[in-house]
Amino acid sequence: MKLSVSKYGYITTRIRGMKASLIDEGGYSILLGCPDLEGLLSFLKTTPYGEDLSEIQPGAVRALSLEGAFLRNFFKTLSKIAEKASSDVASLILGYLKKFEAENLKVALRALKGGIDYEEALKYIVPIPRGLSAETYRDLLGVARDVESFVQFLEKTEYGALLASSMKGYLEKKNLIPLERALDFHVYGSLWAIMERLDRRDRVIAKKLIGAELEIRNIKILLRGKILRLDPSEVREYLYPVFLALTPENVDLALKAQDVEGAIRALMVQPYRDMLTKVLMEYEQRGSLASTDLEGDRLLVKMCRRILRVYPSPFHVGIILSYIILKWFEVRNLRAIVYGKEDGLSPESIERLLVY
Amino acid sequence: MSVERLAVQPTREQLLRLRRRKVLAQAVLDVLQRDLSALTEEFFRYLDMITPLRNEMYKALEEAYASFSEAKMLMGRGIFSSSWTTVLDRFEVDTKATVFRKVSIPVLNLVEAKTVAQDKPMDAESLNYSLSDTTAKHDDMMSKVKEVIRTAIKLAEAEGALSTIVEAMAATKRKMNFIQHKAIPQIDATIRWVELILEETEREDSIRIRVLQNKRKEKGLS
Repeated sequence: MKLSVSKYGYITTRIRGMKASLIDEGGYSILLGCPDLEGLLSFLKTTPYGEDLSEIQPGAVRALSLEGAFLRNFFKTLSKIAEKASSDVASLILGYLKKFEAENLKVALRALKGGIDYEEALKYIVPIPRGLSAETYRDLLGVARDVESFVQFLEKTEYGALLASSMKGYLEKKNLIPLERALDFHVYGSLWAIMERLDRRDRVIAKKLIGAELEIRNIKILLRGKILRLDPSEVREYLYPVFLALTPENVDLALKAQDVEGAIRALMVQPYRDMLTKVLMEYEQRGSLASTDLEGDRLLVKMCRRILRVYPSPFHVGIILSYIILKWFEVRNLRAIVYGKEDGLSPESIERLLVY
Repeated sequence: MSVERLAVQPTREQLLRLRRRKVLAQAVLDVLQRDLSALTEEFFRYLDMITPLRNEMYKALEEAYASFSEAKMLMGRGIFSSSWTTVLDRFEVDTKATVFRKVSIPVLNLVEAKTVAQDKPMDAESLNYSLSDTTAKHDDMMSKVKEVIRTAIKLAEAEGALSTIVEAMAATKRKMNFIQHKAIPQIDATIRWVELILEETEREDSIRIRVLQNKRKEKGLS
């Protein structure tokens, strides 16, 4: 206990303070009521996003630039937490951040495959702290002629070997999916390996939260694969092998199910039962799985809040991880609001897609 | 309005030929009239299709745009980069033609680069986007975009057919006008002229015969 207090005493106190500044329902109501992006910007300048938003020129307020500012703020926040955290927790946070570096690399790969100008591609890349810098992306995209040369240039980075080993799949199919899958599995694999090195209680908590995130991801992919009539063996390749609430038998049954309903029923175990019931009802009514996206995310937010009740002591990694996940959903909500406002959607339509 | 005559010899043979030409011109005019009626019917058939197809396309566009907005709200910048590779080589438009009353009407069909039979599973690469970075809303959007493309092609086919039919109708009308107002009046005028000349020649001949008969009678009496 003494060890946990010294390890988490300072950081969890800071996180409690940071948690208080997360945007609440009232804040979202104000944002939804803003008539345009300018109004939204002036409200957000009074929040922790103010510093990052001040970089945006008044005439250049667009959803994409606002999203970039939200992401920069999120990355900076995580980096600050990692600086104050113990080394194992810091590695976990930095491992979590790698997800976003993998996204940046995917953007770069897609730009090269799609023949997009590198200056245009750079607008969609938000570098993470302690990862590949904006200058590195600029140099790589400016010099690389195609996907093959880009992968070669990454040789000295942690992604070089794994991307090189997946190049065969890319060259055979002329499709980026093998490379993107390799990046995802590398990020999840590294994150899982970091979790294995945590203290016993922290390991259990981290696995519960990040494991649930991965299982929800697997459920979404599995059901979408079913509705899109994808070959089960190909869907399996997308699934990261994490089994916390689900068992390999559940997954096998879902993959072999004749239809979407069968797959949903095969996955109906706690804590996913309620979420999947809603998804099933929506699917039966509209024939769409669009609710999986939101119901899965809402469940994760609930789990983040629940973990603090299950482990009431403030000295564990759950405090940090649940904050990170809630902060990420705040960024997602802000992103949804700015894109919705930019497209002129009604506050009601935007609110339907928020997760809090 | 004076009508120009055809350059023909005023003979009985030419007169017969001209009468045959007139009958033929009348027959062609009837055929063209029937073609024009059929084309007009087809024109209205396509015209009736245009408005529902346009409405269908606007509805599909609205739904696709709403889906795109929602997918963008859920995926953020990722939706743009995922579209950089998904728009490549997904569809082709197969162009054929069907012949109606000698008019070649375009038939357009949407062909997916990779089509899979309804009862067979699809390979993940056919999607052209990764399942791990996209959302179910993105799948909805993609199927709605496909619907937009399908209706746009159907609309383009109908509009293409309509403009081809209008052109064919105009050409038929031009031919009919030429036959009705130029060729037949010209033949008629030439027939009248040949008949006039022949009648004149006949009259001259009968006078000449009568004069000759009178001369012969006078010689017999003296």
